[in-house]
Amino acid sequence: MKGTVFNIQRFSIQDGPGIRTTVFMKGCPLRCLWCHNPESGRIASELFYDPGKCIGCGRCVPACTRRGHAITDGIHTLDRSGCTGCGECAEVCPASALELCGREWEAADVIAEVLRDKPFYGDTGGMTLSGGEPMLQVDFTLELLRLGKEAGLHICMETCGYADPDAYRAVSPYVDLFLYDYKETDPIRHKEYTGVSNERIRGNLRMLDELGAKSILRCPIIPTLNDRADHFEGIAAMAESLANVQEIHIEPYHPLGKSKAERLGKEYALESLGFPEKEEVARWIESVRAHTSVPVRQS
Amino acid sequence: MTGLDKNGRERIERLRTGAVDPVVCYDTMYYAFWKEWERLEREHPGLADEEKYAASYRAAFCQVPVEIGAEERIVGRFSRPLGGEEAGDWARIRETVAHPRLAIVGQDSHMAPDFALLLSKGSDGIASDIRARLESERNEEKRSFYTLCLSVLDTMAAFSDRYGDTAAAMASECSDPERKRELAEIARICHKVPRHPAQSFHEAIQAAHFLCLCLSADPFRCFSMQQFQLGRIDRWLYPYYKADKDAGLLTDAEAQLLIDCLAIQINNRVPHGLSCGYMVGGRLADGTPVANELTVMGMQAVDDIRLVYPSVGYCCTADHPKELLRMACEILSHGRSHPAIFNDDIIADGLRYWGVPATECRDYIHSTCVEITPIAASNVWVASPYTNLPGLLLGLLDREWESFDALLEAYLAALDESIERNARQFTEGRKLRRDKGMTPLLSCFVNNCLARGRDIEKGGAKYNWITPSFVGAANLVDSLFAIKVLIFDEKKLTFGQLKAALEGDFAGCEALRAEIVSRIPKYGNDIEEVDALFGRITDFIIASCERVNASGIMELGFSEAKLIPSVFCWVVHERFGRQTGATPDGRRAGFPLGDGSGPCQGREMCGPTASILSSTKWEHKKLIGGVAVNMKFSKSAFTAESCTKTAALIETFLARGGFEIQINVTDRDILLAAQKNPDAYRDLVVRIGGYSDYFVCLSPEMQAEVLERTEHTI
Repeated sequence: MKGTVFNIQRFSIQDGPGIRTTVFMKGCPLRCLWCHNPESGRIASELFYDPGKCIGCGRCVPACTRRGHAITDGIHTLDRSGCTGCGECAEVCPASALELCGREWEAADVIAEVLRDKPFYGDTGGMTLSGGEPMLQVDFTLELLRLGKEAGLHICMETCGYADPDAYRAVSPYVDLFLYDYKETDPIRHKEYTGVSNERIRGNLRMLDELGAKSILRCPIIPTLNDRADHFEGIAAMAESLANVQEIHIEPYHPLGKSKAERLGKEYALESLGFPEKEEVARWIESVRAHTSVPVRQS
Repeated sequence: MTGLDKNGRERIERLRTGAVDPVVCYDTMYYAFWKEWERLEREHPGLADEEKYAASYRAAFCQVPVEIGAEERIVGRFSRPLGGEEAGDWARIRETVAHPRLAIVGQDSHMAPDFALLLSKGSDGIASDIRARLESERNEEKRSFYTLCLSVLDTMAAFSDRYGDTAAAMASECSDPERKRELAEIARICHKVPRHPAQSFHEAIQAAHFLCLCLSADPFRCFSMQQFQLGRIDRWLYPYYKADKDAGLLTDAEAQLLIDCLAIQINNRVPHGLSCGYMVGGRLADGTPVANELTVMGMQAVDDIRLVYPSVGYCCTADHPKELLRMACEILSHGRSHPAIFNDDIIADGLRYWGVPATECRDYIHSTCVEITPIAASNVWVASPYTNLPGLLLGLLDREWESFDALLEAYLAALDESIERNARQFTEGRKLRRDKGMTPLLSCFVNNCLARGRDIEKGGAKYNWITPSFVGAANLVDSLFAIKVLIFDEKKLTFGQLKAALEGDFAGCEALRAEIVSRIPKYGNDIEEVDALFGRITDFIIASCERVNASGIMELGFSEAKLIPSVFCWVVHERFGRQTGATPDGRRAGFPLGDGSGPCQGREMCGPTASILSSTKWEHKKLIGGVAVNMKFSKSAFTAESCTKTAALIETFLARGGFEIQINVTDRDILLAAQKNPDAYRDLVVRIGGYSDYFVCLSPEMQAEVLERTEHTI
């Protein structure tokens, strides 16, 4: 059973309890304006190009059947319009200035990779499925979960919540902890910011909670977009309504995704937003805390 | 969280500020000693060296300035440079009298002397024992040695008496009643110790510091800086702490203050660029874990004083309270470079392997950084010498080897030959020091010099190891692997082409270099074949040393004169790097070699878990000369939530047989360095929640953003 993965990150300490290995799956049904992993949106493989690493050797030029690469006066240029993400140019680039993001992995090979760090997991660590959206490749995800459990791994899943409820029912028995995104309470704004509305997302969260699934609410806060009292109250209200929610994590916006978008030749929506100040973040956390007894902290 | 009270904190703040950029200068001692030596040689030419030594030592300690600083509680330092005319005279005497008389070869200090002996007997008590030996000793040489020891012990005590007199004089002129009281106490203590046994916590600390100070002012080692360690302060000092506390004579705040003062004084007796400190933790000989209040205070001192020294080693065991490792992590998260974490059980195993009995294998010290020596029994020459592992490979690249195995065999043969050659050379150095060296004061505090009636330089000590250190193992392994892949597996390159590329420092061969850097697997990334090669090299080095030990090359009538290897580098990876041309691992000419035994700079691409797995696939325990594993972590690894995880990572490293780990927290300076030299920081990752990217891949705009936010984002 194969799936498209764009990163397997060892020593993940912000993706669930303990020391974990996080499997980032490519492809996501949402298009959040603030996405810091723009390489995760499309399921197909994509080309990263870092001009800072290019040494102008020109080996990419003949490798490309679509004439995407050219060297003019020693300077390399890239025309992405015909790019199919075949990765031939990345294969031959000696400097790794060209890298193909996303490749197919056999599920068993992913688990083998995750198990390499088993000496570090202890009782609390393990595997986290993330992305992108793991539920977009639900068969692959189910296979990873099955094999992961067979291998005795503690498993977390990071999810945006936008998938078929039956699919969530199918994965729930294997997942020890959901890291569930809660991005915007107002459905209209939710659609404006992420490309989809939030009814299904909220419904799936409640359904999972009723099944007994433990969750942590992951709440990205983006200045000028969702840093509003009604959303903070909405986060708190959602948490209060869930019997098995463990914590609320506030994730302050950061602009570093812009750099990745540039290397992917993509537009980045939030051009002028910077890091929020520490004091601002503290106020957000207090705003949520004021309305719920569920522990709130910065992610 | 410090145990200092408000006053203590303020005083330590003031004392530490004065020790940030200290002047450490023993020239007054050296000059006074050798000037007297010169006079005696001129006026009493028949005098034996021991008599000249005794007299010159006495004359010097009677003359050198007594230095008691404002607010000091633990006293004794040498910071006065010589004035104009005297400096000129010293320059002359140094060249014409000292230099010819001395054997300026080999190592010294890098050990902890017998504090327990000093504290329990006092120098007068030790002198009594020596006089008893003299009663029945017929051998002239030994009698001469004992007589000299009596003299230097008394000289040390007399020097402390001068401190006592000065403190008393300062007390009588002091208008601040609090300070007056303190000075009177200092005076009392300096008259009492080190001559008499210590009977209080403060007396014990003063005695130990004063011994180290006098040992540091060694006129026969005036061409090198002495580094004497304070041993296990949570052992020799603990009974005094307990007794004083139980009697209501000592508070924890006062105890922490005095330990901090002791730690500050280390900075005043050892110049920058070296290393000096103490160890805490570990086990007693019977296996009982040592984890007491002084274990905590010893570590806390690092955070209280925030200076270059002490270099504190925390010896971790599986059954220590977890809070100790957490405390070490927390201190490190504040940007301190210590404590370094040592694996007590592995080290004890290694010591036993090399012949240290079970009764002694838990009582060791890191002799500045990671070199392990038995306390109060060592005359070990550490880092003797440093060997440039990748440099040795460069010499073999001028022919076309028929197979990788043939090249590797030739390399190992060359390494073996260099190990033997160095063992011979340093044994010759030992012989020279045996003939010319004299270190009587130290000899009184190192077993078994007094029992044997022999100066430490003449083989009085029990352990006389020589511990060479091998630098750049990761560069070597990465280089060998690059050769294997490019020349033998893929047949893309010949040795001739490689040699030409290296000699030109990769000019015109950018694609080759880029390929080596980006595409050839590197050590430190949990890749079986590469890691196995590393283990092959370290195992070979151990076997080579054992062959030398069996060969009799190092025989010179000293006990335990073994060759024991190490893989650490101090700062020599930079020095060797400057001297070494471009290497097949893609390293540019002049660039530092990899530090310690870890991956090369910027090559640890799969994170700390992979790095630790690589590091623990080869056997550490026999490398008693020292193993250093340096790891960089971001501040995000030390938040309240993640500190436990980082501690768990370290525990796994130890459980897998790791010898030592030293942690550096990525700070602004590292990020700035990464901007200037991205190639050496390719592996530096920025992580925020589910986002991760390499710092060097960020646009300059984003790098600037990250630089402003190191606490948040890194």
